[in-house]
Amino acid sequence: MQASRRPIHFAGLVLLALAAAGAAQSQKQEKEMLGDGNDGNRAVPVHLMELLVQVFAGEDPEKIDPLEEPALPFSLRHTCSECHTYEFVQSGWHFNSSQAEIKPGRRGECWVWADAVTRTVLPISGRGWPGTYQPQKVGLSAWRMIKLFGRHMPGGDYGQIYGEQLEGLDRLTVSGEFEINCLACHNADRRQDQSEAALQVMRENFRWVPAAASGLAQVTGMASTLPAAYDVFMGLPPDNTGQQPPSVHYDMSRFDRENRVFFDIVRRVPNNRCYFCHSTQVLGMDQFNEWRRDEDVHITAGLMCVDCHRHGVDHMMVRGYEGEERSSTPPTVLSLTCRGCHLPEDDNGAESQTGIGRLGAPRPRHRGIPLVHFDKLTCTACHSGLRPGDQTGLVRTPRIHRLGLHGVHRQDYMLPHVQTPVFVRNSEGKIEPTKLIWPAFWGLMKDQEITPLDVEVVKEKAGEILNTETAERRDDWPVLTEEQIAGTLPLLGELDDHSEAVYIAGGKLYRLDERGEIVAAEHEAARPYSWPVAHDVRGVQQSLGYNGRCTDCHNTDSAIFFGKVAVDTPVQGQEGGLKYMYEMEGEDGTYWRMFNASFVFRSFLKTVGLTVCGVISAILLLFALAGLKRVLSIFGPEVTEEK
Amino acid sequence: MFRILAAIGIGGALAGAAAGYYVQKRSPTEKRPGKPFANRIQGLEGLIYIVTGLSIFGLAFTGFWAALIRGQANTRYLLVVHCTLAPIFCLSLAATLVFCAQRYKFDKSDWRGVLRASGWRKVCFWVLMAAALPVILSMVLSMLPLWGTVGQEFLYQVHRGSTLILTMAAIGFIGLSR
Repeated sequence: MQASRRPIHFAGLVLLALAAAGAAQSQKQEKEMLGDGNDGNRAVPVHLMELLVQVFAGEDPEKIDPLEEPALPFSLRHTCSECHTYEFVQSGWHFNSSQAEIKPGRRGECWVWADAVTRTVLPISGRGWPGTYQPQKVGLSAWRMIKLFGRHMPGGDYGQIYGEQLEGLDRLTVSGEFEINCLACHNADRRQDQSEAALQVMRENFRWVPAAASGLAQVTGMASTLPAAYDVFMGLPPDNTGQQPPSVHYDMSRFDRENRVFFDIVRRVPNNRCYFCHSTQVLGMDQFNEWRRDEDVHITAGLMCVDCHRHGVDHMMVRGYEGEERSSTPPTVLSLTCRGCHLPEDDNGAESQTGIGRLGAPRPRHRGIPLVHFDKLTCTACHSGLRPGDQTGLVRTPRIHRLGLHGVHRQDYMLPHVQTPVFVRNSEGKIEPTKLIWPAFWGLMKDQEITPLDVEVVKEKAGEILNTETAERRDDWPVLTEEQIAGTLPLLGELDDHSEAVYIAGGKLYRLDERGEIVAAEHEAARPYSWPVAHDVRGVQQSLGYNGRCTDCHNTDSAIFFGKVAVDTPVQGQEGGLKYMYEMEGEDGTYWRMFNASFVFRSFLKTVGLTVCGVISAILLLFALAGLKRVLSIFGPEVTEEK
Repeated sequence: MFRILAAIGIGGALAGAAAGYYVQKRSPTEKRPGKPFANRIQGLEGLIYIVTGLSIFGLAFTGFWAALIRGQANTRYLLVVHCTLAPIFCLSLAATLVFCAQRYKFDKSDWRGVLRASGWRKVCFWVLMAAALPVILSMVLSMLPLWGTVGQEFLYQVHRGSTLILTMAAIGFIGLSR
């Protein structure tokens, strides 16, 4: 397409046309697309496709010509919509966290707004999991969500609604929508580079993300440097040298003579695609010895993530936890849980008629494990995550610690401190291993309800007091003194006359009393946020309690009850605090000490029991034989040998 | 189901024991010569009887409290008490059997057309002892890494069922003692 063919592109025009686009899309949605159903052939169709882009909302998409100057970035929304209904996909678990009507399911890994300067570790999630804060409640617009966390988002969700909100409105025409990047998961080509995608997101080059990350094109320039009025489709020279309009340069060798491109699209998404966002790095392990760590036993056995975490055309992933059918939309496949494969249960939770689990999974014997354990513990408690030790370890995850990005992975960003395994009681009443963070943030309290403050607002009001200059130690907490808290709270209190400024950290709420002195107290908002650990699943021999090893858990210093959880806080004098695991589980420590101590006598009990059984058996047998002799004597007298 | 069975069983045993006690008291033919049972046991034997009786009562209370009142498996402090009493029960029961087995041999005086109270007491004694075997064995075996989930479930049911029989026999034995 030539630049001269395009009229001047105004933001207003695009916005007005959005409604028309919506109507056109809904019309398209009514008919089933080629790729929405299943033709019965298990082979994945060859995806030799024309690349499309929609230049004007409401108009038909145009075909990409890689030789065109300036070349346009392709849109996966329109390219894939030739065969798949984009709206179905949009409702999927990876793209619906901003949709209030979706049931949140059990707690999951949230986004964490971490800032060393303001000593903030704030759990954020649009799903409304208890302990997290909705983005809009803490001043995060969809635009800022993408700016903060878009590096590990697959597009869609906040990326498609930011233009509907005031803060992102003016950037929509420059950056474009951050559409679902189907290739982020479904492209089996090893050139698919999500780190490059993250880079493009940080540059606000949203509409260039799929092209750049797929390895099909190189993208230069930064939309973030351009003014809102700049027309990226015109490709005009920028007004000043600081402006770098994004441009795309396709790899011509990948196009056939009809300008079609082959994408190695797969249904069974490679694990590598999942790992970019779903990994765990153990900090206790020397990075040079990371190779010694075992992977999840299922992966080692040859399974793929998507063998269990499946979905249909709606992309509503099976998360695979017990109770998911009650807490998710729509109800999911019960048999794709641990129990479904290993203890064959059908989709109603009953034992399957065949008595055989899925995928040839071995049926566990659980030798020597009393039944009560299955009522009180999740499968993961014994089988998953790091083996519990005397004190919880620290881990990092891609979404929280930005792992996997160019230039970042070598640095030791410790914040936020994510501890694992921490055993807590879940909503089903079972104890499960989790990852855990202690929230830390400044907020305004009204009627005991605390609203966290925007990090940028805190920096603006109290940046000097919080010692911005030295707080650049980004790998760990900078110490926060009581004087700093006392100095900051009055400044933040000026933000709202009807609320009281508070600081939350390390399980405590800090506030100023009438005399202006800092007082600390317990508060619901200060409680840690934790989410369940499902992987890595350890081999059965490495499970807790394997082969009747009761003392893995039932001894007076067992990690599962008496392991120590660090109470993470930047507040001076409060560092080094610990909580016992039983406190996190809501259990009675005295009881568990007493009960676990009784296992010292277990061998004695077994010996006594077996001995007594022997004695009773012998006497019963003796008397039974005597009785039998008596009975026999009824039928005939005993014959004695004559002398 | 077990909750109902246990309630009926224990209730029936209590009623039966009360009826037996009443019959013994009213019927001159059921009266045995000599001192009442409580006065006849003394010394070590008496101590063994008391310890066995108390441990059975304690175990039955801690076990059936959970099953009957709470409708769930025995857990927490009640379980600790239950486990603490278990070896005492085992040892005292074995001692009872060793010291008293001869006394509870059946003889012709137990049978006069129908089984007399003394005969029923002996039946209770031997049922108690026979039931103790699966009660103890089911728990000891469940502690060994031999039985999987299905085996554990089986042993648990055996433990519950045999405990119910043992408890009923113990109630009958005490009710028929004079």
